[in-house]
Amino acid sequence: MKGFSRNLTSFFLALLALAPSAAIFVFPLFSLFTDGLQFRQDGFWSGLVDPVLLSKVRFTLYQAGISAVLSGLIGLPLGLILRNSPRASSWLRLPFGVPSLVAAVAWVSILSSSSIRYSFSAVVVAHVFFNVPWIAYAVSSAAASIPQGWEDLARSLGAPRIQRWKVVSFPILAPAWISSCVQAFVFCSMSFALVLILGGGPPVETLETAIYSSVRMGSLDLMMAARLAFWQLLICLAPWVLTRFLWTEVELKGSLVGPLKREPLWHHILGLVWILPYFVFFKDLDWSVIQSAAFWSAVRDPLLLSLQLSVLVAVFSVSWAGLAIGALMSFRQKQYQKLFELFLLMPSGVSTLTISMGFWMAYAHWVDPFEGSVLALTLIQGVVFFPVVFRILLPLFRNRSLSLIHLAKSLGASSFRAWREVEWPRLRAPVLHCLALVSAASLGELSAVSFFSSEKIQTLPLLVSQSMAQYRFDYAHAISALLFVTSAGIALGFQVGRSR
Amino acid sequence: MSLQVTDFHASFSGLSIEASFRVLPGERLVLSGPSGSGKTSLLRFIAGFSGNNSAAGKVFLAGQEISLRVPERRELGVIFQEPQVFPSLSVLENAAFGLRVRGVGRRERRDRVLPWLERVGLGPLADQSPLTLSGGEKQRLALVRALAWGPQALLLDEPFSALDPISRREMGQWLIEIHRENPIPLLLVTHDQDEATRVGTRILAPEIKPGKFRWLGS
Repeated sequence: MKGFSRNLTSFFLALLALAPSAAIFVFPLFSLFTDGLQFRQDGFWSGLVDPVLLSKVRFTLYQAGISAVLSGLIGLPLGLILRNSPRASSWLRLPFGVPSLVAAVAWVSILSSSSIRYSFSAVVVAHVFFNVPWIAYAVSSAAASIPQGWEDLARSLGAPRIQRWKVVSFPILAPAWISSCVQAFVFCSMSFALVLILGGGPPVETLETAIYSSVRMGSLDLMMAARLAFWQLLICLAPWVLTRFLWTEVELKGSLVGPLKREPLWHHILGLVWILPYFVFFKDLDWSVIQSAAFWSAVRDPLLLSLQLSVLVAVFSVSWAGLAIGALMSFRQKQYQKLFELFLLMPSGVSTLTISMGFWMAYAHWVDPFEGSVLALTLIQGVVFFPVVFRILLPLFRNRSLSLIHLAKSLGASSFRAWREVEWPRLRAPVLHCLALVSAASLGELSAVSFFSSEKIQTLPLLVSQSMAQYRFDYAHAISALLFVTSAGIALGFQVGRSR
Repeated sequence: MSLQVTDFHASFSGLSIEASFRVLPGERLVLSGPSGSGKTSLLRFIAGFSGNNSAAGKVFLAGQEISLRVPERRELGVIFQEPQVFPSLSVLENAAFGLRVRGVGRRERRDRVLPWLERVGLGPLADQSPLTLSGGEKQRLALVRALAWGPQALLLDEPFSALDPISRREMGQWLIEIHRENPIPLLLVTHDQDEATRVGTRILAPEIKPGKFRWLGS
């Protein structure tokens, strides 16, 4: 009887957790295939291999491939150097909170007197700078997680350095490095703001910017947009699935390699290099713009809307992740857990514009992109950022301190009380970290915003993009600075909160 | 071919440790003392893994000083307290790792290691991942791995502390039997008196003075 009620609870929890995914992700993608691509009609397949479309596919693969390979080649040694310097490698985490749009504006400023501004090279340079910290951090975290005992054991058996690398380090580092490189590739394929602003127009047009052009730039070619989205889905989802299979969890037990007592200064410099470009627009900032009343009157509403949106998205994705993890943990069989996890993480392999496109097609009766919709933006950004939160929180829930919970219960604490006293203190900091991360990311999100904005619904990233398109760099710099400061402020605020 | 430690001294957490002793071939010397008496530090120093900068002294193996050699050149078999396995290698390849790094071919490795594994009951698991092994099985694997390549001395740091009493006795018995067939110097660190008397042929306890432990033996 108890088993039956547990199964029923598990079933309803799973249903609840899957509902947002079905409504915001699966149904929109299904609609994209059925309505947008109209694959039952003649000419569907010939349309998909149209030479113009295929040239965009090739360019996207080339651009993302070059960016990911360069990032991987730089990220690996950087991560290995910083493996025992946790404070220095924490600098690498800062760029995660920098909106890609802010990065794009910064690079426009840095390359202002260079011939590569608004070119393919500019896009690659910006992508490399954006991805190296991510790959290096993944490598340094994996390297730092290798128990010291393994290295000692290999040495006691007489293994020289190269054998130790092959048997001890490589099996742990390879999945982390390859999978972060693949994720960098997926990110570069899906990259929107950086390509749109730094690419300089049609010669540098990836699938993502082409989808945007076919829907929001003059001509409304839904069929073309859907075909582009199909290719985009294929390019992003295939490597993502590959990554999931590559990622084999290795049992890591025993004392870890201890951090260095005194981290060399040059380690800190190596970490800091990757965030320096984002401060450049402060140098070019026109303070008279910031001080003008007209500026504040123009940005006030978009700022408030951006903040409101970021809070809504953060709360939505963190609550959903909590629910989904609860459902996952209630499954007894591991293969169900794995399948459920795979399904929930799938949105991380699909670009925001593809999801937005599908969302539009699925809910065209209720949501008109040209009217704008805060609800659509919240849901789409929520589904995009949910996998990030899920991946951060899941390992913590998996490592529950069951014996302590049992101890608390044996002392008379209720289930909720036991959870609050034992688990919550451990989870509070990561939950706050996720709220901060998602808020900052949502604040700078441009893809969904470009799709579901209108004159009434405008956010800060949209204002930056518009200012750049109108060559109003002083405004773009000022708004980017505001965006950067607000994102950093949110991240810092939560950081202070979690350390208390 | 004896193992000798001379003029060892180290200090940490306000405690001073000194040691000078010799382990003869075929002897099983047990260092038995309370927690914090420097047993593990001393053993790690002999193996070459001293993280304590204040530790100094000389280690001789078969009359040759090995203190300045890196751990991988000391030719000592070591079994650590926590049963460690290389997760990327099979049980057999774990056991044969010492032979592999010495350039022994795949077939010969298998031929040499399988009898060892059979002997400790791991033969049927030879081609499995070591992650499927229980704590006791991992420690048996560690014993085979430490001996299969033919070290000149064996160091064991509380190797059975994580096992249940029955497995401990069983492992102790295996160790004695295997050591009788391979009479190299064996140094065992334990705080368990019963284990010390069961396994050891000689027990060395520290002289305890305020803030000082001295391990002195012949």
